Amino acid sequence: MTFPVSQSVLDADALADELIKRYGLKGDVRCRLLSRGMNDIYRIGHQAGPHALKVARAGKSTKTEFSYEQDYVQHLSGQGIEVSSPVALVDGSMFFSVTAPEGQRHIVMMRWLEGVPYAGDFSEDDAFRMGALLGRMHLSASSFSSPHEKLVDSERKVRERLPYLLAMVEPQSDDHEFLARAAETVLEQLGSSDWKNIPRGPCHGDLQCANIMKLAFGGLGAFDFSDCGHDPLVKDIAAFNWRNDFDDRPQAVNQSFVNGYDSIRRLSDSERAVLPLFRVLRHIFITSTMAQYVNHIGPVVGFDRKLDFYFDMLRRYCREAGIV
Amino acid sequence: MVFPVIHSTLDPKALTQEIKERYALQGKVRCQLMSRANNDFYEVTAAGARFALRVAKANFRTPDEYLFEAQYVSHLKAEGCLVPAPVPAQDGSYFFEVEAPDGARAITLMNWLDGKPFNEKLSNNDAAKMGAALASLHNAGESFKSQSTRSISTVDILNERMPDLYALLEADPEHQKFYRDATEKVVAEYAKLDPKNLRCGPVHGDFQFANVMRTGDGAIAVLDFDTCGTGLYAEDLYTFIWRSDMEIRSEFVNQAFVEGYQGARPLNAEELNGGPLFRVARDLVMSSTYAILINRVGPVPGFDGDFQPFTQLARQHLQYAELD
Repeated sequence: MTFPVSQSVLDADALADELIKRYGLKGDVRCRLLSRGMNDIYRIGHQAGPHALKVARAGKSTKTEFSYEQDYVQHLSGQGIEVSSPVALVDGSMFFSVTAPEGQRHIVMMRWLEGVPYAGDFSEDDAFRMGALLGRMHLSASSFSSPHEKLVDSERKVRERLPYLLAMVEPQSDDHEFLARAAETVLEQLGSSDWKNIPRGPCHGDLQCANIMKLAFGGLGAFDFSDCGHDPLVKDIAAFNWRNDFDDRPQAVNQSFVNGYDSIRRLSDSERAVLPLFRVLRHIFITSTMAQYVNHIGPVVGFDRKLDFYFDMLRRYCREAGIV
Repeated sequence: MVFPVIHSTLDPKALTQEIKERYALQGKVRCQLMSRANNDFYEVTAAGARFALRVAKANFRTPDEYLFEAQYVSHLKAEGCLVPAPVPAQDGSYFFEVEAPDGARAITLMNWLDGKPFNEKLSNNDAAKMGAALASLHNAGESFKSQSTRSISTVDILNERMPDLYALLEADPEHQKFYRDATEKVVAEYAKLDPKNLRCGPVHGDFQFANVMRTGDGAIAVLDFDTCGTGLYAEDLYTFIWRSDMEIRSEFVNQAFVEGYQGARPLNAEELNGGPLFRVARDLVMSSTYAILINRVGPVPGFDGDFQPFTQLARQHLQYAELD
């Protein structure tokens, strides 16, 4: 009997053959694995290449949700935003699916963005430009429509994933109690009628600096739309803030990002007011997700049993949001 | 049809169940993925006891070769070396195999060693201690006997793996030619070595600083015997020096390591003379190894399309060996 698996890496040669068939690629086609994380990303070398290829993890999105993602990215591209837009297959569709041992995996070949993703230190000017990029993305998406639906729905995901994180924390400890209470409080407060009317629309879902690229020919590009979907727009700012704080960059970087965003699309008062709550939600969402997937992809830096750093960050966010 | 895969991550629940059934562990058993690379490593806890579990990559070695490793590491432990000795299952076996979608994978439960692996911030003193630790392994290994065999031949490894590196460098003929020429020269030099004067026995095979740990009480423990086998003792020193050359770049550290080794186990004249050849051979072995693994685990720093750091070292070491 074949042993059950939770994740797999597709055979690169078989993948190349599949791409030749599905996309009508000519000549020698080579797939090179670039990163193996929640999704696997390849660089596809061929006559008319290169292209990027995403093999999404099984169970991440339904076909409808994956279609929404492709529609959204195409729309942004059509609006002049530099994104890794999908390439059509020979049959006109935008992605295909294969049955991997762990389940169905959706595969999309995308435009290759030549550039370098942001990492380490970057300037406040860079952050301003990144904020402006997000502002343009949100404005551009106001004209987006798709027959497919995809919600980010991090509130539901937090409820679903929190038990995995709680299981990693000593029961009856202060941390355990604090985390449970913080999650309950933030979900309750965000569910209140106060926030029902904050602007919503298509969001990137994970616009942290590492998903923004300084393009070789100048300008910025956005990639990795795996977590995109309909959501309160201001949550995209919380996603940027979270990574910035996690990497311990100065608060001035967060402020410049918001200033850049405001220069294109001004945040409303209610969006500014709810942002601290969304940062708490983001933090619990990310840590719960890591806890759920630790046995799929292995731990990430700072998440190797000692969760002190994460709890310090949670307490700080809760203080800033005035909860717990 | 299930798409062919090259690597998989075993389902943690199924793995936990398998461990419970095979080993006499007490209380609640928990497996947590610690690292997912060439092999996957888990931390297993059961009633306060900790173990390390290795799920080897598919079809990597024969059962006889795994038995050699288990017996060798057990022997080292019996000789007083701090190593992760295999824990026997209830049936007395040292490992078991499961049929994963990517092929047969050998699973070994090992003693947990508490400590901190070394990193590139290595002092000369640490390097000397590590040299002495390698000498201790070699000295302890002299009395090791096994019915099983696992031999290490650098020439065989190069013949097997280099074609993958050449294929990877197809778009870069200059680099490809360098590696072809270098390999040819190195293989020719190996043919000239006199086996009578080079001591051979069980070697670690990958004694780089990341596979060496300082325990809580300051002792040196050695991890990851994945590539152990019967080979030239002197070559084992260059597994340390390769990683040191890549990341530490200090001849003082290398020298301290060799002196530490010689303090416990002097090298003979032929072993010392072979040093420059073993050094460049290790460069080639590692470059070709990454080439065969790139689509399984993704690129590693310094080998993400820019081969300069690898090539630069190989060129320099080719010169040292007077083979340029």
